[in-house]
Parts: sequence; structure tokens; C-alpha cells
Amino acid sequence: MFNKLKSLMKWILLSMIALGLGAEAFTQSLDQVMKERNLSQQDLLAAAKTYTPSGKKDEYIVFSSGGQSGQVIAYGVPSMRILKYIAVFTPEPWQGYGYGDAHTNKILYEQGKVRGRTITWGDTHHPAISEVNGEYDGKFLFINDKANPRVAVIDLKTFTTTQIVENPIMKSEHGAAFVTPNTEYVLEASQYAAPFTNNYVPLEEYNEKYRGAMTFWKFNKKKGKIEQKQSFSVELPPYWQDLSDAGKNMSAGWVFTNSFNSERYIGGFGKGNTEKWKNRLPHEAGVSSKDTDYLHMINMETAKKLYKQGKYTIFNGHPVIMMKDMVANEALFLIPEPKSPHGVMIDPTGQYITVSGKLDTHVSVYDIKKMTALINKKEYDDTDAYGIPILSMTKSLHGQVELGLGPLHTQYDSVKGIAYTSLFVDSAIARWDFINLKLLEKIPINYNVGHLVSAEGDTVSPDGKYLIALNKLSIDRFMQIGPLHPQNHQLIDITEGRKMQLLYDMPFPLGEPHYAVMMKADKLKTIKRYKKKWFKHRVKPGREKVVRKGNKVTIHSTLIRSHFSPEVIEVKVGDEITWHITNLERAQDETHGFTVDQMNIHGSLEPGETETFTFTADAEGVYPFYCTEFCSALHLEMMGYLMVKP
Amino acid sequence: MKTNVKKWSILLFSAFMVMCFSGMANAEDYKANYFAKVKQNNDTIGVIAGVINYVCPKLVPGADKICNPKDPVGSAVGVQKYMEKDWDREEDDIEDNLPELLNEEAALQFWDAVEQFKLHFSYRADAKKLAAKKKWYDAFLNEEMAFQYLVKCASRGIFAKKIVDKE
Repeated sequence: MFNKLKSLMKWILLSMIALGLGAEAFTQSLDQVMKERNLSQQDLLAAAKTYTPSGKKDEYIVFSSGGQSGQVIAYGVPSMRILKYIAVFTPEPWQGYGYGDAHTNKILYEQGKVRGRTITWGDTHHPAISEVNGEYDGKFLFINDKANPRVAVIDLKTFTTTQIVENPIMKSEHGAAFVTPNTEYVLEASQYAAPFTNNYVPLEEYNEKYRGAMTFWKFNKKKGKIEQKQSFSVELPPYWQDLSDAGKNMSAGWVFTNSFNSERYIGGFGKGNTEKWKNRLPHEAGVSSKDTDYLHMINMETAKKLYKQGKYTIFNGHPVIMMKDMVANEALFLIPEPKSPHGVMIDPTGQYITVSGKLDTHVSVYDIKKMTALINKKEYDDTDAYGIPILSMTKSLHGQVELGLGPLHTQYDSVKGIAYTSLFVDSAIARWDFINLKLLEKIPINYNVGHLVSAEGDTVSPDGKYLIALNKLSIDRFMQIGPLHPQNHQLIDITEGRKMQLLYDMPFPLGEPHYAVMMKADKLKTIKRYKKKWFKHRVKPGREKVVRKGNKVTIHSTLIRSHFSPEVIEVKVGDEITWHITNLERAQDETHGFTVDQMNIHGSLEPGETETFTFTADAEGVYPFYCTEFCSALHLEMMGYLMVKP
Repeated sequence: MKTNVKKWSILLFSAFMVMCFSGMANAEDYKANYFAKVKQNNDTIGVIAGVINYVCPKLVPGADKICNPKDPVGSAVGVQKYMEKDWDREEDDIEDNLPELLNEEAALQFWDAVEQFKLHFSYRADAKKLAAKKKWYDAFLNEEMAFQYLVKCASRGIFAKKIVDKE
């Protein structure tokens, strides 16, 4: 009996040891992971601050320009997980943007035309979220195209582009998109001066006939559309305007824009220049030869009044208020700013305006109270060559702070008086106090930071918490993937009372992400599916048909897991086909794709959506069509035949 | 000449007989397939019933009035009716007018699962009628179509279960 018991005990003990060893083999401690992956305590902290478990959602959403991709990228913070590339100025096949669907074709290829030319790319720079009382309302996003001056409207209910407007007078732009505090207007400032007309004007006439401009695009929030017929521009000198912003609170009613090349220099470097412009130093030398350029200050309310009074000149069908009228009505001023600035940022109170000259180590903080006091007293230092009054820089300044090399762009914190400025040459972010004018702390980034964005950072009530450095170079941060590197978005913890901490590197492989905006995710009011009644050509189930009128064939079809209706369609060579197709699904995320062999069309039909495709059946044959999304278990079976008879 | 006609007649008759027998064989196959599919569908409905009974009380408040384990189909339709009580199908605005739910995300998945489930009924009914007429191929196809809707129902039902289980 005792021996039996002893043997049983032995077995139990051995089993326990075996189980223990087994468990040990299957569990990992943080210490083990740290050793295996060579991670520090700081690394673990950063991971814990950014890791977002499956199914958990981010606190913030970032909309970043996609640079040369002509798109906008949306991603979550703190996870830095990319959520969507929003197709804007460039065809995008997955979303069926510009691949045959009549609605997106109209936006991209008709509205998006520039001086009659179809443009299929864009250089997106600055996104802006629509605002109410200076707070993001999460309803619309605006983005500009620097290369082919255009502004696009993105509806955040659907995260799709709903409108593109061409700027009729600009030949390039940069200071867009920025909105007034109630999104009454979307601002767009030109960059490289050019004639407003589309005619050839010799560079010798640069000072007289080349111009800059600020366009005020009237936005109709109810319709979600820019009203081009209620929009106007203000003529500006042929300095190269840069970033812009609308005043808020104390500075409400004013609009600001930086400039460079107030020298009005024309280059002519190297061989091959035209005879009149040769043997000159490059633009980079002449354009930055003065110590200061001009911050422009535009009185928007007076500009609106002048527009309503009809005091404008029409260029290319677009009303432009001339500088002389703005000056005569005390609505346009210049203030010297450190040369080659990039960014005019207005603090949440609207009182302090920060400007950084890329070639100055200081940031300059202007005070709107001082500026308007000078204007009210008509106390001007001088006028420029176009008669625009120039305010004294020293009398307009609240002060200057030395932050480091290449200060560029500024964002604000929830803590009063605290701002963050990117230092391009230093490759660092400076945390500083713009009221008490002192540098507090710097954190290195990798590398050459351009813009930066903090949570709700350009609203009247920033959140602080997170800041992202939008770095132009990544050099050694990611594995080498050939000579073209991704750019690098670096997430930084800027929580009050702690030192700034770098949390995460996100490779950005789509273009140069100039600027981004970060909004609380709970402000989004997106739809999960389309309402069928929104679509004029929707096809109801059971009403599918093919209608022929001469050689015009209209197909009214539906699709739903996992079939098209109709599935076999016969037409003749030369028939012009209009194909309305409705996704009957009501289930969330039940998107179907649609393509027809060789027709270069592709649609993405989200639940409830109707799209229309037109093409000519130009050659006899058998053309399968199918659903391109793996929508259901029998996705492969979701197909049909378009039979084109001779 | 006569011999040739005879030869050809025998050949044609043989071919006819082969075709008849193979047709019979196919009909028998389809009949068997039909009944196999009927069984598969019944089994699938059993699994779906289990999922309905599991998730139903986790979707709607006052589940004891809506969810009845003895009548899973009734429970499912009850959940859907509860969700649709302020919904005008023509207006197509279900998400704008949802009543109080215990788990909205899961309930919306469940709602679609019920939609798919409802679509299988007519195909099974047609299959039954066709089977009574011994049109086994068509009966089988209709039963297969019913199965497709059951699969779609199961797919969304599993999503609902995953969401309530926080998987």
C-alpha cells in the first residue's frame, strides 16, 4: 500500500515538473523579450504607449498630404496604423477613382482640368479640416495641389473626394489649404509669381505684370461645395507667397501669408539660359539676398466688402481685387520677417503670430495688438514698390527666441504659451515658451524635419499629448530598399511635465508628406454604407434589365453576394454601353469590385452604392466581368459574360 | 445496302440506349446529391440555431421577451424586428434610428445574417416542389442556392459571435 502511494506520489511529482517545464517553455517574460530583441526600458515604454491591441481604436486621426502621390493618407495615433489613401488628384484603382465610373471621372478628369488639360497627378501639400469657431468639426478636408493650382474637397462622411476646383489665375501655389475659423472661406495663396492671364509675358516685365494672389474660395457647408461664383482673389506683389493662415480670436478677420523673393530676383545660372537671362547666380542666391522678406496682412472683411461692391477686375473669368484698391481701403499691409520663412502660425488666442525664417536661428513672435495699433495710428515705416504700407518689424514684434538651425514650422500645446518648432537643419524639435520667449527643450529627430503636427495643434484649443515630426529624410532608420528611401513620420510624446520622448518611426512610402493635421477621432461622423436613394441611377432588385435604343445599350444591373444580375449579356460590335450597377448589400464592409475584361474600367461599389460606366464594345469577342473583391466564400463564382457579337 | 442500314440502325439504337442509361444514372446522382444537400442544409441550420441562441441575449435588452432557445428562427426575426422598429426601409436609414442595443456592432452583423437567412427559404421551397416532380437536377441546384445563403448567414453570424466574445 505504502509502495503504491509512493509510486503515485512520484508520478504526480514528475508530472508537475514536466508541466512546469512545459509552461516555462510556452511563456515569455518581458525580460526575455528585451534580451532577445536587445530592447531598452525606454523602448518598452514607447511600445506600451503606441501599441494598440487588435480591435482597439486610436484616439486621433491624422490626415497627411501624400505629396507627389496626389493623395491624402489617413492614419491613427498613437498606433500609426495607416487607414486609407484618399484618392484626390491621381487615379486610384482600388477605390475605382478615375477608372471609368462616371462620378469619379467627372471629378478627376473634368473638374480637375487645368487650362483645359487633363492632369493625372498632383503635388499635395497642406490639408485643412473644416472648423466651427476655430475647432475642427470633422466634416470636410481640403487639400491643395501646388504643381497645378487646385484645391480639392474631401467629404469625411465617406472619405472620398467630392470636388476639385482649378485656380483660374495662378500658375503655381503653396499657401493652401487653410480655412477661416468657421470655414466660410478656404484660402489659397500663390507661390511663383506669374501673369494672371495665360499669355506670354517676358520676364523683363516681371515687376509690372507678374503677380501673386490670395484666393478666397467661398465654401458652402450645407452643400459641401466650394462656390466658385462667389469666390474672389486679392492681387499681391510678385513676391513669392508661401504659407498662409487665417486669424482667430484676437486676430479674426485677418489673413496672413509669408513670402520670399521680395528681391524679385530672376536667376539664370548655368549653360543654356536664354540670352537675356544668362551668367547670373541661381535663384537660391538672389532670392535670399535680403535679410528680410514680407509677412502679408490682408483684411478679409474689407476684401469681402470690396468684392460685394464689385470693385474687382476679371481675369480668366475670375474676380480679382487689385492691390491699389486694397491699399486705398487700408486692407493690405506688409511687415518685414526673417528671410525665406516657411510658416506663419497663429497661437490659440490669436494674439501671437510665429514666423520662422529658415536661414535665421530665431523664431519671431509678432503681436496682433501691436500690429493693429500701428495700423490704427497709420504709423508706417515705408511703402513697398507697389504702394503697400510697411509696418515696423521691431514695433510689431513681441520678441524673438533663438531656437536652433533652420526653424521652419510651429504647432501649439494645450499648455498656455507652449509651442513646438521644427528645426530643419538641426534635425530637432524645439519646445519653447512664446510668451516668455525662452527655449525649454530640444529632441533630436531623424532627419531634416519639415512640418510638424500636434494634436488639434492649429485649433483654438490644442490637445498637446502627441506631436509628429514629418521628416524629409530617413537615411538609416529603415532597411535599405534601393536608393529611394521612405520618408519618416516620427511620433513624439509631448505630455506636460515630462521630457519629450520619441515613440515611433513610421516609414511613409508614397510621396513627400508636407503637412498633416491631427484631430480627435471621435469628431468623425462617417457613414458605414451609402443610402441607395442617394443615387439617381440606382437599380432596384428585380428591376434589372438591358435596354437597347439603336446602338445605345443601357444595362441596369445589381450585385450582391455572390452574383451579378444579369449574368450573361449580349451586345453587338459598335454598341455604346452605359452600365448602371447597384450594390444591393446592406452589410457593413461588403464591398464588391467590378471590372470587364480589357475595358480598363474598375469600380469599387460599397454597400448601397450605384456607379455608372460607359464604354464602346469595339471588338467582337467574349468578355468576362467579375467582382474584384474577395467578398464571400463563392467570390470566384461572382462573374458574368459580356458577349459581343459581330 | 440493306446490311449497312441494319448496321447503322443497331449503332444508333445502341447510342440511344447508352444515352438513356447515362441520363438515368445522372438523375440518380442528382437525386442522391439533392438529399445529401438537404441533410447538409438541415445540419447547417442546426449550427446557425446554436449561434442564434448564443448571441441573441447579448444583443438586445429585454432578451427574455425576444430570445427563445426553442425557436431560434423566431428569436432572430425578433431581434431584426426590434432593430427595425423605427426604420423606414424606403428611407434606408437603419443606423440613424437604431434602438438601444447591448452591442451595436454585433447586432448589425446579426441583422445582415438574418437577411441572408431569410433569402434561403424560397429556394428550399422551390427545391421541394421540384423534387416532388422528380426534377432532381433543378431541385439540387435550388437546394445548393439555399446553402449559399446559409453560408452567407453563417459567415456574418460568426462575425457577430466574434464581436460579442471580443475575439
